[in-house]
Amino acid sequence: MTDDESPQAPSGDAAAAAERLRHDLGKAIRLSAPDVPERSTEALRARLRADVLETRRDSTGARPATDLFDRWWRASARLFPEGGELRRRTDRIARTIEAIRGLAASLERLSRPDLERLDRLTEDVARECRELATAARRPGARA
Amino acid sequence: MTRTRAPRILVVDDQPRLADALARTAPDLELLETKDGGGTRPHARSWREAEAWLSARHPPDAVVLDLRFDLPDEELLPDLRPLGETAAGRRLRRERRERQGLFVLERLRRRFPDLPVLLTTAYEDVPFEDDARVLRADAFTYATAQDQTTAAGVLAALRRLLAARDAPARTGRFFWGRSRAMRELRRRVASLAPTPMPLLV
Repeated sequence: MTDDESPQAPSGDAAAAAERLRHDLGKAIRLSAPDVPERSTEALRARLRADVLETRRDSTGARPATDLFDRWWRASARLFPEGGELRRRTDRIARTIEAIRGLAASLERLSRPDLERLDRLTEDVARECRELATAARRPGARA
Repeated sequence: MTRTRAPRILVVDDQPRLADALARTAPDLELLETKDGGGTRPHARSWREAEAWLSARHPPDAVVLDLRFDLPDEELLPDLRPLGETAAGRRLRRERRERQGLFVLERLRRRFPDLPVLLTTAYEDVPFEDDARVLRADAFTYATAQDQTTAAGVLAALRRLLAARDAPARTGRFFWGRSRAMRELRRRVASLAPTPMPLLV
């Protein structure tokens, strides 16, 4: 995400912000996912390294998925006030991101079961981002 | 007729990962490269970079196009100029970035009305309903399914698109040729067919 997502910049509405998250995080965190899960543990690890730790590139280099969410949240939190349906959805994404953060920190040493758990968490983030964007576009959506 | 050369694919995306994945997993496709410093990369980041390939002697056989682009103002259609830091400028910048793929598609269609274009965003995820409606009406623009926006899903959709382009088209007993002129004629006939007017070809 870019300079106009900085906390000081005007942020636009919740639907636009949700769409940015869907595109920049939800789509990118599953970009390398194959149709059939990898049999090779190292192939799975390499794919998760690319999708979770090098999710998007900007002028400073590769950004991990957790960093993308953190920056998006700093810029967009005000659009999702507490108590609303959309806030419940962003909170869900935040919890999934925290789980990813914990596993990603030791990705190079994760066992096969933990890699598979991380893989499932990326599926969760992708789905939750898509659902947030869809919900935010509904007429009368309450943030 | 069987195609004897590799299909030429132009990926227009501000991020490198999709093009890199396609280059790795589909060596039978020729991804058109853009010069970048001392080397090249297998995608165009903006309209300016894509336009060079669309003006080339051998344009692409298909385009893979993202919808949202995080680019500086000078690379954003339609203005290609600084938009400023006023509230209006920031709003324009956001809108240009959110819909940049649509601006690219519009420019591309002026020159290549029937060039196959694969959007890497599902129709259901296009933020603006009017835009989604226009895209669906374009006979030569395709979109990935919602659960198929991975590189593997994009590649599968691209292969289907290329196969459909190469296959002879039939309507009942009639065979349609594959030339650009015949494809355009077929498109015009299809658009007029629901009307009661007689059609002379």
